[in-house]
Amino acid sequence: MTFLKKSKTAVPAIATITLIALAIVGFTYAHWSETLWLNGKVTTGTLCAEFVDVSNKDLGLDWNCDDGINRFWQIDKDIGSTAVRIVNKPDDCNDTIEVTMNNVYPSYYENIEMHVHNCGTIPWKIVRVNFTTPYEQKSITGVAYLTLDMSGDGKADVEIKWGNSFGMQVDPCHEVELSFKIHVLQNAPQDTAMSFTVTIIMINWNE
Amino acid sequence: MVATLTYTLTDTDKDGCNDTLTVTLNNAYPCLTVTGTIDVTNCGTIPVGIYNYGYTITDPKGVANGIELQNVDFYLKDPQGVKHPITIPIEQWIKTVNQIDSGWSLVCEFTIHFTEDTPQDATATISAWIEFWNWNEIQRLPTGGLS
Repeated sequence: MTFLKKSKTAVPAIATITLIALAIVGFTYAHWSETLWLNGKVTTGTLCAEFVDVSNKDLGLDWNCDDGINRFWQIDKDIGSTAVRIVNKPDDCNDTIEVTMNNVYPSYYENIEMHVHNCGTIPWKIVRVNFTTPYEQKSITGVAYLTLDMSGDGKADVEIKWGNSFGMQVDPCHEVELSFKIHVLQNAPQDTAMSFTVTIIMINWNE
Repeated sequence: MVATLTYTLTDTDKDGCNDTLTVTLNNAYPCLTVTGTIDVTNCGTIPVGIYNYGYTITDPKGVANGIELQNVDFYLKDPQGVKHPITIPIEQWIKTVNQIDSGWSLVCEFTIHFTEDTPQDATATISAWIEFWNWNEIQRLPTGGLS
């Protein structure tokens, strides 16, 4: 009998101690659970354009043209010259072309050709081209004829024709060839440095 | 094709049910619109409810500033595929109804749009989790389930 009495008190005590021990170690028994995970990652693309090369027509004997740049012809003298170079801006993209015309004269004609490379991951299209002299800036957004004052006298010194390259989609890693024509006008002053820069503005193709 | 979207489902605890969804969207750009559907199915035999959920976001360049949530819609789908709209805000549904029966699904359809504020060359990650308990335990909680 003594043994049975001891058993009746021992069993609940053992159960209580067990539950306390389980609670201490964090055991739960009231629910079942399942956890679902969602891992998302978004990476955005880059819009990048750069000039990869630029060249000009006058590499020896000069070229002349008429007003309006309708006809051009080569002459038998090498008098004027044009230097073109790509300018590397701080953002590491070659986004500007600098044109410097030396010893040029009225009727002098030049044609600038360049290749622009899509160095990003998003297709782009050209929306605007800026021509900048020390005295003015002009922007074009389509096939254009424009004049530039490069001497600050308020008169047009050169006329420029830009073809239709606006809105054309250029995919990543692809290039597009662009060109424009320059004609030195009668108002161009003597003994004057003539230079300007060309900057092209692109936007992502879907805009 | 410019942007790409991939996803994988993984059964990490090997219980026969996919418990991890990994979504990767690459080369996103302004004006991109993405529509998605997330279907959480009760693949067990006991009704479940949402006990808790949470998320962490890593977004050093502010991609989230360029993401606009255009539409989000929750509904329940029965085993026959019939939709049962949830007509109250999902937070309220969790605090009141919060039950997905065996074979039923809680479905979320959403549309996001990348605005002009989307930064270039940026990466953002989100890790979200949902903890389900058997429904009858959640209903005993004073908060309705959410801790």
